[in-house]
Amino acid sequence: MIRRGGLVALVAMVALFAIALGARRHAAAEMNGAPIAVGELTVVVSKSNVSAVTGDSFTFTSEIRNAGSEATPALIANLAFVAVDGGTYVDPEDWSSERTQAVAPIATGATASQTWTVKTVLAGDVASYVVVLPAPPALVANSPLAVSPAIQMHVEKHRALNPGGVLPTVLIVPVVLVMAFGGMRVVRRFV
Amino acid sequence: MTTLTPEDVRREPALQLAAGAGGGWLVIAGQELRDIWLSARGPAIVIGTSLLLSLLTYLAASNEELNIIDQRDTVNLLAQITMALAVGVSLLFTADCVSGERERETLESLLVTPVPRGQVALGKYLAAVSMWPVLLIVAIPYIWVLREGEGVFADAMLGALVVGTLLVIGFVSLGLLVSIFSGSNRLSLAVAFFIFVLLLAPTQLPLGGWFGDLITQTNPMTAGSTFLHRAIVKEHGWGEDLDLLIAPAVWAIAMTGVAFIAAGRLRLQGSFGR
Repeated sequence: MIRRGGLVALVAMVALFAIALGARRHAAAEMNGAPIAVGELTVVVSKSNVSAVTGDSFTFTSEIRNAGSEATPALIANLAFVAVDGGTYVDPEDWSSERTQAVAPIATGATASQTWTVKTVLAGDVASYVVVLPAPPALVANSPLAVSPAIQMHVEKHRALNPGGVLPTVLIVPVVLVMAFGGMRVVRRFV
Repeated sequence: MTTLTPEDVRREPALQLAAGAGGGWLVIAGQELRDIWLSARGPAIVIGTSLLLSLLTYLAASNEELNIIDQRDTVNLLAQITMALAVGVSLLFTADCVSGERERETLESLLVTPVPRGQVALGKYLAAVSMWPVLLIVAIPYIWVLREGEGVFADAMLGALVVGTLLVIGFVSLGLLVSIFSGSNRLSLAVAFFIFVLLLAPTQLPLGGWFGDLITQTNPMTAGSTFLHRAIVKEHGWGEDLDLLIAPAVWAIAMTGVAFIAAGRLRLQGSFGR
């Protein structure tokens, strides 16, 4: 009788332990969320190489394709820059004023396009790529990111003699002032 | 430097007439204006300012083409530099105007003219203030060529005109006040310049928190600079930041009042720092 009772108690304890363990796992799963299948997204860009001079602007498009079996959550596409020559200082804000775009959920088999504008600020070799990640609240720590191939930019220094058309003004104003004041002195000398 | 002698005054019927009619300040101002603008001082400062603005404009345009500095920031920079130069130069003119005359021993002859001392100070004051509109006019083509977008030029010119006028009036009065009480010209210039730098320095500091706000609101230079920045760069309406004009306005009115009260007691000997 006591043995049977002990067995029942043991089974009950194991069951309780199993329930508790399951509940803990469930809580952990709720905390981390189910991984978003961003890995089934492919991102392509419309350019692969760009040769430019400083001050030039160019645009390109990126296309996000959902190859998965379910619609994606809302996504965020971000344009990133990195110097690949090791010496060029790259401040992304200078290279593109709009580097983040919200992307609406993409149905299975569908695509979404984004247009990006890049201004080649400094001379050097710089790579640019588009990275896609789920927008919150779907964003979780272990979500994979989808990344486009890099666009290789080779930027040469452009020397403009008359930037913004200011050269005539910056030369003429001091000359006019010198002539005006000099003229006044000459006139005073003879009057 | 006014080089009127009592003999000049007695021989000059127009001056006596003007002095008798309360227009002696016009004669003093005319003489001071000639001293500034027909000598090398005024023209050299104006040409130097235009060269500096040319250099800054060229550099700023080069950067603008690369989209590193925003166009409105560049226009704001030029407006503020023009304003600071005008304030500094006008301040140094008045810091020299009494103590310099005293040191060159030309003040005595000026004090015995039939022109009241307050009018002597007013004449010198107006001549020193004349530097500001001239420098603002010189800045017009530079701001015009750098403007981009609607209203940038108007915002910059109107903002600089209002803030710059208040600041120049206040600092010219400060220079006059220091000059009246200074025993030597060197002391007068040093004290005036020190106060100018002391008030200008916070405009270059990142001011934050309640102490930063306090300095921004009470220091006429930081208040004026912040007002211009918000009007030109942030595109704020004028009504949004009118509180920032309180410090420059109070500064201008208070310093002018104190300077002219002190000018009425203008003496041959300075007493500042004694």
